[in-house]
Amino acid sequence: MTLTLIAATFTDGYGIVADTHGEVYLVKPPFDFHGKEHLPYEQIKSTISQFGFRELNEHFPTWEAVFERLRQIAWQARREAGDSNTTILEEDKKAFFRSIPSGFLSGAVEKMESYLKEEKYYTALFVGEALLENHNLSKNGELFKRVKKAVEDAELKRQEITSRFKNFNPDKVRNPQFNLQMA
Amino acid sequence: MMYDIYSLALENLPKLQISYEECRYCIDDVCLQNFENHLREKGEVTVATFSGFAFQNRADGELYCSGREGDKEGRQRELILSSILQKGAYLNAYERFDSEEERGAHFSKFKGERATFDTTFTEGQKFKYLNFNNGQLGIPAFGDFTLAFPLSHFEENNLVFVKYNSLIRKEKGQTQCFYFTENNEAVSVEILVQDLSTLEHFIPLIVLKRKEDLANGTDIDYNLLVLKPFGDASNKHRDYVEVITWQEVKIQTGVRLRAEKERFQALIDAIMTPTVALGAEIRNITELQTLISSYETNNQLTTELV
Repeated sequence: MTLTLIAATFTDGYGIVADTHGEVYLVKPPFDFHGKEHLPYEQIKSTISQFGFRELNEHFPTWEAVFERLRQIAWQARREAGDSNTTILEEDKKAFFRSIPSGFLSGAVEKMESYLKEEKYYTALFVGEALLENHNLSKNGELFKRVKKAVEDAELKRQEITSRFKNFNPDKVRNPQFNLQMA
Repeated sequence: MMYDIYSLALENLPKLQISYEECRYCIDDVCLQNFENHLREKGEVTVATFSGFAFQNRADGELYCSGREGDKEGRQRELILSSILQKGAYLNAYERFDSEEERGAHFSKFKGERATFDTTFTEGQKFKYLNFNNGQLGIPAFGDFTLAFPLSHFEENNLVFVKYNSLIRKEKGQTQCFYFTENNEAVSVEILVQDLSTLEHFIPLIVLKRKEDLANGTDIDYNLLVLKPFGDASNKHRDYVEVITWQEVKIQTGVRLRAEKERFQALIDAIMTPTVALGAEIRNITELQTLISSYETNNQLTTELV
């Protein structure tokens, strides 16, 4: 399979990629399959001129190689611009967990399990779901099972909480008696 | 006159051997044997590098991550580990920085002494300073990630071991360096040569350095013998055996990248704190992790938490 990186933005590493079937994709950071949007060429054409893509026409054997090239471009761009934006997007957090190297995963899994024990179900679920998308985790059967189990447990707890508050009437909160019962 | 530091280490071998034989009588045979086996099995050469994050406040038993670490002047530290991985090798300051000014800033208060030391030896401009290790994190003052290179990556005639850090001060708070002549004007080769060994004879050097601990102790923590805390308030410095090499230190199969589990988990806590403002830092470390993973995929690096 040959993939052609038609163009990329040298400010943040967005890429436009064509596959051998002539399908065209807009690839967005963090450069994995979750960031790959299949767009009609006509729509991308206008994007190219709108966002200042630079034409590259570089060929790569795999998607992974394309992502690697885009990562390099994004990293270089950020380095040159001096990324000082402190805002964390959910996507930034997910990308962090997806990129954890093999040997550090045990620490992340242990941390996620501790969130579950501390009854931080939403946090555990967020971390667990992001970890399940980590390519290195899928190569480690034992850790993968632990994350899967913890995600299932966190999901059950989340559902319990949601159902508990399903018939919640905010007016009743003003009643001290009700508050006591809730406690 | 310039010296060949490897020849000096060779020159010291007979004396080193005699001193070692003498000190063996003070140490229990089994104790010595165990320690030497440990050094043989676990021995490696490491360099501590920065991830770019600051970790602090252990007072309540918890470790916190508080964003990117700055140097004393408040400038943000270069992400050293990422630059090593991008280049595929650990480079010294002469190889990393083009300008005298950048090198000066890197050497900081040791600028003069480091220049004097390096210009004393024929391969000085190629010297890379690392420390002997046994599987621990490196020296906290020098970084929170540790790159560990097996001894087998080094050629016998391409490195020497020094009993102490080559720029160690004679006494805490003083500026006079142990291996230098008065006012740090030159390297005192006569003193330095007594503390050098080659790769083949590094064990006698370490045993000699720790002979008192080995003679006194029954239940010895080897980690404390290899990287001994100075016990200063910051607890960031260690007394270590320095390893100087002038060969290329490549990131290749067998190299390990080590981080402290507690710090890594503190980083996760920071990321998952709703009010935290670490966007740029997290994107940086994500890029770093991606780069580390690509080395892992090519079997050029193994990662581990300790």
